[in-house]
Amino acid sequence: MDFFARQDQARRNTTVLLVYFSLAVLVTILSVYVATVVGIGIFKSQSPVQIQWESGNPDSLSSFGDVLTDGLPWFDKELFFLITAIVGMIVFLGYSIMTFRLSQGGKSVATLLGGRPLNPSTTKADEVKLRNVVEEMAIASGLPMPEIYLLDHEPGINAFAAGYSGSDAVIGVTRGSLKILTRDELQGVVAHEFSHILNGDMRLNMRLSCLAHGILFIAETGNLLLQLPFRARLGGGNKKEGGSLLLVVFAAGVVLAIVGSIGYFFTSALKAAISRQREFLADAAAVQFTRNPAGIGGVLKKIGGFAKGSKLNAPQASQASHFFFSQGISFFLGNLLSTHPPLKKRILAIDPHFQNEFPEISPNYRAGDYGGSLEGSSGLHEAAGVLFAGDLSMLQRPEDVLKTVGKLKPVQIRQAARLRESFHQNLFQAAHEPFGARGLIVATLVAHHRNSPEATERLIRVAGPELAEEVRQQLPLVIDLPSSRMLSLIDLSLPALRQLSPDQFRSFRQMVQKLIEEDSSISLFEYTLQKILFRHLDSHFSPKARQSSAEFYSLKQILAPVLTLLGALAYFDSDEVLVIEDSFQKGCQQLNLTGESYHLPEREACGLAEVDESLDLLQKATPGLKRNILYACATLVMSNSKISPEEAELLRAIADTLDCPIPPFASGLDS
Amino acid sequence: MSFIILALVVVILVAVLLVAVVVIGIYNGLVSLRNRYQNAYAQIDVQLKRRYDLIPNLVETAKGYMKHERETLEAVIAARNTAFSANQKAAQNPGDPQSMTALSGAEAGLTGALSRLMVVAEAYPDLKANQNMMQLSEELTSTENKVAFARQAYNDAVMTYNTKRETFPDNIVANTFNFTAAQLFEITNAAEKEAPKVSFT
Repeated sequence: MDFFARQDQARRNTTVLLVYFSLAVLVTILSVYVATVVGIGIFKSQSPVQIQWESGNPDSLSSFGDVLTDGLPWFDKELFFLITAIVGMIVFLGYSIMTFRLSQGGKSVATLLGGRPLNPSTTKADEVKLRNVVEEMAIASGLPMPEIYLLDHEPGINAFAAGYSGSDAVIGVTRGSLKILTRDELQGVVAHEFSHILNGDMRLNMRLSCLAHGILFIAETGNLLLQLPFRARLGGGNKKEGGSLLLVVFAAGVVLAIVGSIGYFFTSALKAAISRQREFLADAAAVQFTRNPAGIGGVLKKIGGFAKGSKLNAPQASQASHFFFSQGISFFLGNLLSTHPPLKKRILAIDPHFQNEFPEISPNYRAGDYGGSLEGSSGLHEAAGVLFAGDLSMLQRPEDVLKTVGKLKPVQIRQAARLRESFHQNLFQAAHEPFGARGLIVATLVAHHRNSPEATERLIRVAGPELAEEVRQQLPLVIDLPSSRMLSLIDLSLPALRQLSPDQFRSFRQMVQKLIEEDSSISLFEYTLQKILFRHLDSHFSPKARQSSAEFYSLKQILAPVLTLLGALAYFDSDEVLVIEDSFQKGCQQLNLTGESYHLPEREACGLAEVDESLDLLQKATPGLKRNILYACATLVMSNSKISPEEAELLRAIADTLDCPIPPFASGLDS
Repeated sequence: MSFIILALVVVILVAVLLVAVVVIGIYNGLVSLRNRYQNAYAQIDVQLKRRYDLIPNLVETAKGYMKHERETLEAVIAARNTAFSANQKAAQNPGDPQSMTALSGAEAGLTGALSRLMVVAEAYPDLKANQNMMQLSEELTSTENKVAFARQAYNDAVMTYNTKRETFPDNIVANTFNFTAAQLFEITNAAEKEAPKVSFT
C-alpha cells in the first residue's frame, strides 16, 4: 500500500464511520421516541385528569394497555418529528462545539491538553534534542516542519500528532518522554507520529473527535437535565404544574442520559477499532522509517516498566485519547474501548522474542544523553548503501517519483541529519529565531537574483535598516547554496516565523511580496518560496484560510486545470514546438485523455498565475486523482529528456501544493 | 399540552446550551491568547540571556585598555546583574505587572550604562581596533535588534490579549476565571526622551 492508498483508506474509514454514526443517531432517535411514547402512556394511565384536560376525550379512564392500543397510536407524526428535531439538534450542537474547538487545527488539541509550544531557539539540552529529531524527520519526509508542543505536566511517556493537514500539524511530546527516552527511542516515537501525519490519520482523528462528541453530547444533556429538577426545587415556587413539568424534564433526562451513554459506548468502540488498526500501521512505519526496531521497541518496553506508564494527567485526555502514541487513559471495559492495541502485542509485532521482561524504570530515571546515535546504533543504515533516495539519478522512470511521495527511508533521515549539519552554524541559528529567519528569507531572495552589488544593495534596502544588517551578514553564507537547499532552510525556519505577531507577519508578507515582484518577473524559485511560505504560514495566522476536504472525484470535473498544468510543464520542458506537443500528449495519455478534444493550451494560458489557480483547484481532488495527476506530470517531464534539477524542484513544488510531500532531491550535497 | 411543555423545555435547553457554548469559546480564546504572549516572552528571554552572557566578556576585553574607567565598567556589570535577576523573576510569570515594570527599569538602566561605556570607549582607539571588541559589539548590536523585535511581538500579543480581556462580554468570563491584565514590556531610553541640549559656543 502506498501513500495514496493509505490516504484513500483514511478517507474511506471516515465515510464508514459516518454511516455508522448516522445509524447511531437514527437508533438514538428511535429509542428516545419509543421511550417517550411509553412514558406518555404511563403518564396518561396514571393521571386521567391531565388527559381530559389535554385531549378532552371522555373515554380517558381506560387502563394503560388500552391507551397504548387505541388511545395513542404507535406512530405519532408530530411527536416523531419533534423528537427527531430535538435529538438532531443536540447531536449537531455537540458536533459543532467540538468542530469549533478544533477549528484552530492541531494547536487547539495541544492547548486542550495543556501543551506549551516549544521555543524554536531553545537552548535546553532536552528540548534541543527533541527539536533536532523532529527537524530531521521533517527534512527527510519533505513535510513542512510541524510545531512542537511540550506537555510539561505529564510525567508519563506519550506523544501525539494532530491537525488537519501538513501545514497546521503539531507534534506534542510529554515531559516524561524527554526525560526517560534515549535519542534513538525519541526518534522512534517521532517517526510513529510522522507516520500518522503522512497517512492522513490526523484528519481522521479530528473527525472522530467531533462525531463522537456529537453523541456524547446527548448523554451530557441528559445529565444536565437530571440535575435541573434538583436545582429548580431549591428555587421554590413548587406549583402542581411545575411539579409535572419537573417530572417530564427528569424523565427526559434519564432517557437521554441512558440512550446517549449507550450510543457513546458504541461510537467509542468503533472509534477505538479504527484507531487500533492505525496504531499497528504507525508502529510498522516507525520501524520502516528509522530501520531501527530497538528504538520504538525500547519505548514500548519502557512504558511497560515505568510505573507512570503512558498515563496522562490532563482532565481532557479522554476526549483526545486516540491522538496519542500509547494508551493515555484506562477504561472499565478494557480492550473493547482501548484506542491502542495492548502493549505486549505491539512489542511482539516489533520484537518476536519479547518475553515480558519489562525494564524497571524508577521515577528519577534519566536516559543517558548521547548525541552520536545518527552514525551508530544499527549497521542497517550502512547496509542500505549510500543511495540517496532523493538523488536525481534515481529518478529514471515516472514511477520513481511516486514511490518517494510520503515515504521516509533510513538513509533519508541520515542524509537529512547531514544536510542539517551542513548548514553554516550562523544560518542554522538564524533559522531558529524570528528575526534571523526573516533575514534568511530576504537573503535567499536577494541571493537568487545574483545581481550587481548596487542592485543587491537596493534590494536589501527594501527590508528596512535593522533587517538589512542581518541580511548583509547572511548573504555570503547563502549565495552559493543550490536552490533545493535554500528551500530546505526555509522549511526549517517556518516554526520561528510562526512566532511573529500577526502585525509583524503582515508587514513581513508584504515585504516578501514586494521583493518577489521587484524585477517584475517571478522565477520558479520565487514562486516555490512564496508558495511554501504563504501556504503554511497563512493557515497559521488566519485559520479560516484552510483548504476544505475533497470536492472532486472524477477527472472530468478538473479537466481544464489539469490541461493547464500539463501545458505549463510541457512549455517548461522544451522550446521546440514539436517536442512540446509530443510531451504534452504523453502526459495526457497517462491520464487516458486521448482524442482531438485534448489539445495543448496556448502558451499565454499556461502562465504562473493560471498554474497557481489550477493547483488551488487540484488541491481539492481525492488522493487517488492526485496520484494520477502527479504521475502524468512526472511522465511528461521525463518523456524527452532526463530530469533536470529545476524540473525536479518544480515537481516537488507541485507535489507539495497537492499535499503529497516528496523528500528533497540531493543535488549539490556530497554523500 | 405536553407539546407545549416539550417546546418550552427545548427552548430553555437551547438557551442554556448556547450560553455554555459562548462561554467555552471565550474561555478557550483567552487561554490561547495568554499562551501566545507567554510564549512570545520566551523569545525575548532567549535573546536577553544571550545579551547578559555577552556583557561580561565585553567588560573583560575593555578592562585591559580602560584602566582609568573602573567606575563605568563596574556600573555596567552592576546594571547587568540587576537586569539579570529582574529577567529571572519576569520569566517565571511573564506579563505580571510588577516584575515586568521592574525588568523595564533594569533594562533601561543597562542600556544607559552600556551606551555610556561605548561613548567612553571612543576615546581609546586601540580598544576600538581590537578584533575581539569589534566582534563583541557587533554581536551585542545584533542581539539588541533581536530583543527589540521580539519585544514588539510580545507587546502585540499582550495588546491582543488585553483587548479581548476588556471587551464585553469577554470581560465577564475573564473576571470570573481570573485572567489578569498583562503588562507591556517597554524600555524608555532616558536619552531619547530628554530634550536635545542646544548650546552656543
